[in-house]
Amino acid sequence: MKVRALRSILFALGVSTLTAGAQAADKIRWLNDWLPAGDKAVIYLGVQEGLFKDAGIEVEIMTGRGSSDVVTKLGTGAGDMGSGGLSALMQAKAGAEVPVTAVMSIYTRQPDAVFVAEGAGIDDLKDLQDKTLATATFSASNVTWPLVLEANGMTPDAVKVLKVDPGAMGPMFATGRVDGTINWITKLPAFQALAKDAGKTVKVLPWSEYGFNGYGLSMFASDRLIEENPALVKKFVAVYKQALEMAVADPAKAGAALKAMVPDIDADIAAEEFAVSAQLIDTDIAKQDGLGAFEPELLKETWAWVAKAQNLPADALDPEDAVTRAFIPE
Amino acid sequence: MSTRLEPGGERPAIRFDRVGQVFTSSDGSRVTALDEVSFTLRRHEFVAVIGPSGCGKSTLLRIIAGLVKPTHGQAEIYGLPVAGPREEVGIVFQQPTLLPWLRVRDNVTFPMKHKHGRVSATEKARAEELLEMVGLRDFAHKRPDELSGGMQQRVGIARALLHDPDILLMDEPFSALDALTRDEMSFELLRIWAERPKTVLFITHSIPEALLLADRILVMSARPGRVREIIDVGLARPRSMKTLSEPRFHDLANQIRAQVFRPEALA
Amino acid sequence: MRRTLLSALDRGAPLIAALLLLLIWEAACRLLTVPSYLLPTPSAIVQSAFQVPLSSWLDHTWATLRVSLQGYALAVLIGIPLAVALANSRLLSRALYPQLVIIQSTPIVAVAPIIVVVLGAGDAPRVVITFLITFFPIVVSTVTGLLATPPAMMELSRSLGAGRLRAVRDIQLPFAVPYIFSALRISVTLAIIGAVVAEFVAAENGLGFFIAFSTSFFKVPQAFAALVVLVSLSLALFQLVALTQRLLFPWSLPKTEP
Repeated sequence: MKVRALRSILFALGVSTLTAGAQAADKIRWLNDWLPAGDKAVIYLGVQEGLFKDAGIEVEIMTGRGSSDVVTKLGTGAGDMGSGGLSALMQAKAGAEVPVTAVMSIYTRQPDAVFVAEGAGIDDLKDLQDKTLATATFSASNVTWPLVLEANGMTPDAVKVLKVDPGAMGPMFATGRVDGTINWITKLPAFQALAKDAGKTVKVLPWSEYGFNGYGLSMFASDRLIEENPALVKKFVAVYKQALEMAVADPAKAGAALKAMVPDIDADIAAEEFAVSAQLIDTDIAKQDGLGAFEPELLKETWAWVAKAQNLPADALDPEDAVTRAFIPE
Repeated sequence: MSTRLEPGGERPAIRFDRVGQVFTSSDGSRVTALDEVSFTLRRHEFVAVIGPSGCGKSTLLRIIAGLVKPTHGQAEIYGLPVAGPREEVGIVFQQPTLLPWLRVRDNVTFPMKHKHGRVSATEKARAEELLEMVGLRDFAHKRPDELSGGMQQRVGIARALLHDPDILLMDEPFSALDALTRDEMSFELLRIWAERPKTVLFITHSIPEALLLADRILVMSARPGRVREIIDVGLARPRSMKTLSEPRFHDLANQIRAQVFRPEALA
Repeated sequence: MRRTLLSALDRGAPLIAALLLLLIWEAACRLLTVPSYLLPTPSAIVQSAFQVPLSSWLDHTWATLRVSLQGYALAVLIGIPLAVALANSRLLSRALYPQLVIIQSTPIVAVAPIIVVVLGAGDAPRVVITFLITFFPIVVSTVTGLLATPPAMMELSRSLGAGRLRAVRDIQLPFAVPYIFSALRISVTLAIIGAVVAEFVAAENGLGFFIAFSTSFFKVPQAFAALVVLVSLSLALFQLVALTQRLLFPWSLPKTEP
């Protein structure tokens, strides 16, 4: 309730920010959902290859701190479009009038996974009984985790979970302080590199193999932009899709583009990271429905997990209200 | 200079007319610091005020300086009620109160700088003259913390004399100095006073100091501060170390001591 | 002879101690084979520092410096006049002091995300966060300094019939200089902390961002290198403020025996 009131105030304040910062015709302020890394490479590839420029769009890339941060910033006018987990948007929209809508799906499989060490005798979710995992304190995965366990016939307290800083998870895993970690699968290359130093190999248990289905990372746009300049949104989505396909076809190029714009990046790791995330993009679902589509059934399933995790009534949000299919290219 | 009055005729330089001062302390109780103090100073007279601590001596000085308004009665300078700080008054405080960031000569001219924003060449020259008079010519370019306590207080005196005030108010100016320096400063003050006669109101708690300096001594009682006795010193001037050994000096000292320590009930 | 040796030892002591500490650190890490993602050796930190291109270091350092100095300047420009107002008006200090204490008691880290959302992209939210962290010590210390002016000094000013503003300018502010500078020295290091806190919440570059970025790839030696740059920056600014005081207000320094 308090959160809702605060959000409303913030959005009201946001109005002043956006009227003050009236923008040039075709500029998009893009918000990534996390710090620059390989899985965020698509937008950089589009810029670096001049795809956006050719379409007459200038892109400014900013770094958000998590999906809910992206939703808040888009809603208050601090950005125009961005990427984030669809669950975070649904959760926000179920709680308040949030003027942000998803315009395209990117991950058709959920990215959440458990990383364990190869050869530790953990080959299935059931093997995690009485083990200890580390997770990032503010990870959205944390609320879904007990439900995944329940869906697989385990009690929520069957696995001990330590909440730590994201930067501490790798070292804790490598030193054996924890048996595994909860991560997005896109973090695999960085973990793999670290585990190698400690003489370990990372094994992945993706939650999507244990019934956690739904749309993951999606593209959001602020309702203001959709209202004021739908043609720009359509153009942008089309170009982004083009960049997405280019990146899936050539992860190394995506990694190099990211490196060109963020010099502190390691291009090889970035390419690997994107290659891993491509598994979430280029799925059977995407092949069947078309890249970027929102299918009603999977949308419903995405919401069902959110509603359960957040203890919300199933009718708190019509999942169709979180998305629009008006901008998805044919 | 319009506020400056020319001392005229028989009018007393300073006059306290049934001055009373009541303070309300923080706990709400009222303390009578001064009660019905009436007294006059003739022009160029040197008067010392002596009494135990808390007898309101300093308040008396602040009233005539225009820093405190009395609750009863009134104070006058040359027949005019004191309504605020006046130009013909110079003050020397208990502490030298010098500005540590200014050189000695700039400290002396500070009142002019502070009041008018600039210092004229005449005032600068006068400052050098005054420093010469108080024996600090060679220290004009020093900072206060390079000076001894006695030297600092001399700077304070030079500063109070800068605008050549007709009235000099001195609030226990030598009390922070050691005994030797104190005597030295007393003679120094007498010499200056002889050179440039002024009406001086000198607050002290030292009986020998009061006797050595003053024409008359106002002995006050503690809480409430009242005038207990006014003593004509009558020791010959110029005074010197010899004065200290005159029998009258000792008689008066004993008399004053008896007055200061006399219990109120027997008054 | 012995004396000069001792005095050389005395002067070199901090440096020798620091070098010794680094040596013990290096040796301990190597002997105990502490993995670099837990505690990197000093040599690994230096090595990783050189792997990052200079342009990258300059870019991040400048971003942090820019935000710190803007927030700091704002805190000085608002803090000192506010302190003068508070020290001279009972009414104002009664009215405003509680709010200042509330601002100071608020963990800025907690409200930083809200500030970012309200102020949008760009330097503005980071400057405001830095300002909020640096501002309070400046106000409190300046007020303390202004009120520490000897009362007799203020009486002298009143007896001269000089105005209140002149008393502030000629007497109160100079007397407060040692207090103001001790606050300025502390605040300049707080300004760096403020900028880093802000960069953890929202930034595209800066040393704080670079630390978060490096740890997200578990590049711990690189994060340590950024930390070293950050500490050096902080120390340099601290010394710069101290030097400014020494050059402009030498009389305000504590006395050492001649």
